Amino acid sequence: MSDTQYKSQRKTAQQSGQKILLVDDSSTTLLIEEMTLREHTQYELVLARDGEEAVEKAIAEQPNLILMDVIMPRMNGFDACREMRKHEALRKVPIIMVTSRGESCNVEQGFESGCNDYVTKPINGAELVEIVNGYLLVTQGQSQ
Amino acid sequence: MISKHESPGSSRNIPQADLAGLERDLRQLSLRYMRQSVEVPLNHKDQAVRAKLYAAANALHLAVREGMVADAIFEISSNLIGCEQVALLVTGKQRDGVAFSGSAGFNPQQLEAIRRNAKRILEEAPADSIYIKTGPEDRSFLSSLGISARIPFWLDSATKGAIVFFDLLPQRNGLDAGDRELLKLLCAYTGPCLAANKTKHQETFRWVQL
Repeated sequence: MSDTQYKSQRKTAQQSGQKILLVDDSSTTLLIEEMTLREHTQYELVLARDGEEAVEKAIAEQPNLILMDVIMPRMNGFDACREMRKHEALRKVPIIMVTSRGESCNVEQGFESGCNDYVTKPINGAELVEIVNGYLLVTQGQSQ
Repeated sequence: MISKHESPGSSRNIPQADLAGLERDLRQLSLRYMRQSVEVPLNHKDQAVRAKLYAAANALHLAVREGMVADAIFEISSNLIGCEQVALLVTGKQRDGVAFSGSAGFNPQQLEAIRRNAKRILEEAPADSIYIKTGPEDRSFLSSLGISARIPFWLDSATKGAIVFFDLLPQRNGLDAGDRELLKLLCAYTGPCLAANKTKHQETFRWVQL
């Protein structure tokens, strides 16, 4: 794919009203994720503060991508991921875990729970936008 | 001696006018950092720094309003700096001991090391400066305790304290220029915010005498 085609596709993806569910009990992390994605993309954003709320909102809102913290009250990110994968409509939705610790055991546990990828805290805005755009381009390509 | 649940900054309340000024300052600071972060291109190195400063100033502003200042400091450390083991130490000229409050994540050996060395941690390197571990070659006393950074703050002229950052998360190799900006922000605002916590919310935070 040429650079021009890639940029064109990326713009299309960002303007097609795709929805991202952001899940974190940390208000600072959620604030950075929300501000970065609002300012540098045009995706619709839905927020949740724990795993249970995330599962409820994922079922109700049918997001195109889920960005979710691991350690949260009520239900952690791994369990929320497993719950989401039980629902047919959420089986193929990319789930990116946001983890404090990037060690292999945590990463493996994340993939076993059904997540597609992970990013580590502290959140880097450029890295976040790149990974989100990357997954949404792929899912948009698959649906066309 | 400071007993459990007693405020380390009990010698002075901050005036209501100062309290309103502090909240206004933090709000304005937060908005300024937000504007800066959205004006800078996403791939510019300053963008991440400004975004983190925005989130930190915003967290402190909300914490003063809600009486959760120490929790906000632990949150900033964990989520914006990448350090989950953070201690707040406070001592005063009239007191023998040091008051401690810490984030989750310390093991018993680390807590014992803090208890035994609290006064020296406050006084080393020099006491009124920000200390940041320089790297593996750093053989200072603070580094030998596993401390990555220590920043001083003042609750009033007689009561000083420090935020002590221990091991960083594995993905962090050290503290960078952006972290230094965050540490400077905490150095400037931790004392006033903790004092405001006491004035406005009667200091509900958990301090333990070491």
